[in-house]
Amino acid sequence: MKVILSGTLLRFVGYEREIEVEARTVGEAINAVEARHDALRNVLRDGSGAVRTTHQLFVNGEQVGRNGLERPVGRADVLEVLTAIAGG
Amino acid sequence: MVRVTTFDVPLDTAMFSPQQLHPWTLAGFGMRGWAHWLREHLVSFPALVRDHGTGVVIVGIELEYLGPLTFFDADALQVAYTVRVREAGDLLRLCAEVDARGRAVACVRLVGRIVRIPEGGTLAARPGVLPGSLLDRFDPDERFDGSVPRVLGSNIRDVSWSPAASSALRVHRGHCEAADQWLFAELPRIVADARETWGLTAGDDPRARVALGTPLRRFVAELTRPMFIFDTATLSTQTDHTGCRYLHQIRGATHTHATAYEELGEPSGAP
Repeated sequence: MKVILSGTLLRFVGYEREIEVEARTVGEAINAVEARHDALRNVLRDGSGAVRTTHQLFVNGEQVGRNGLERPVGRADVLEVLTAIAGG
Repeated sequence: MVRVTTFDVPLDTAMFSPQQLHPWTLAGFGMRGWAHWLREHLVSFPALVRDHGTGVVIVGIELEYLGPLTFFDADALQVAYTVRVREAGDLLRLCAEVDARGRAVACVRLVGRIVRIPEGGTLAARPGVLPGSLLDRFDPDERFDGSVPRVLGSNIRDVSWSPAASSALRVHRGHCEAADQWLFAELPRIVADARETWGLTAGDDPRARVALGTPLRRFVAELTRPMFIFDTATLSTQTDHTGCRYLHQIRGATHTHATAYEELGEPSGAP
């Protein structure tokens, strides 16, 4: 499946906007990206390991909640990790 | 009492076109003044973000040229800056009044949304309110209640617009601030580029000469959804029958990011 990152997260994944990973769930997809770019983990997740509320997850354009990490995904699915807003 | 922070800006040629103070320079005073005001009256800008986990995202911009000004008209500009906060602590109204030799030449009015920043790595944020310890330091006269009028109103509703141009836009690093988020002060430059590009390709349309040769009198924009580094969108430009007014819309795949209005002409306070 494809994981698309943008916004403030790009510099933590070497500006790789689209990343192909093997995953059965949303959580596995994120784990796979973090395995390639370990700097991502601390900015994407809070101390408990949950995705921070400042980032939103979408599968095929449909938003999944922060508790949606168990949601199954298939090879053709696209997971987007978006930053809604940043402070400046 | 409303506290005023003042500062001088020595002039340099990069701040100007032959016609006027660049709109992006003027818009930049909105940010520079905020940094001056913060440091003088609350905390420094870095401390606001780092120590208080708080930032501001600009959602409304108004630039107005009040009097003629070219590079040789003064040695420096004087900027007077004020800040007002909504009682709830969620919204700011920022105002920079720009004088040259004691004469009002321009002003910048901004509407800023307070955001809270839970971690400093990305500066990713969510809407919030000023911490009480900071909100308490605003004078009663610096507070307001109720809604803030939309900056785009009748100036765009009562105009018969016709499509002029459409182009692809990508946000590059040069458009962005410390959070890799586009900087509001870049918006006047982005849409002016689109207008001028249209003017250069509009053939013998008499509005093209207006588009290319007339100074900006007023710029108004609403930023409804941030864009980030390397994001893409479509910039659509419309104009009126005179070529003096332009409406620009920046749309991504699913959302409108910004709507901007340009009005060309001599400064509103010019004789």
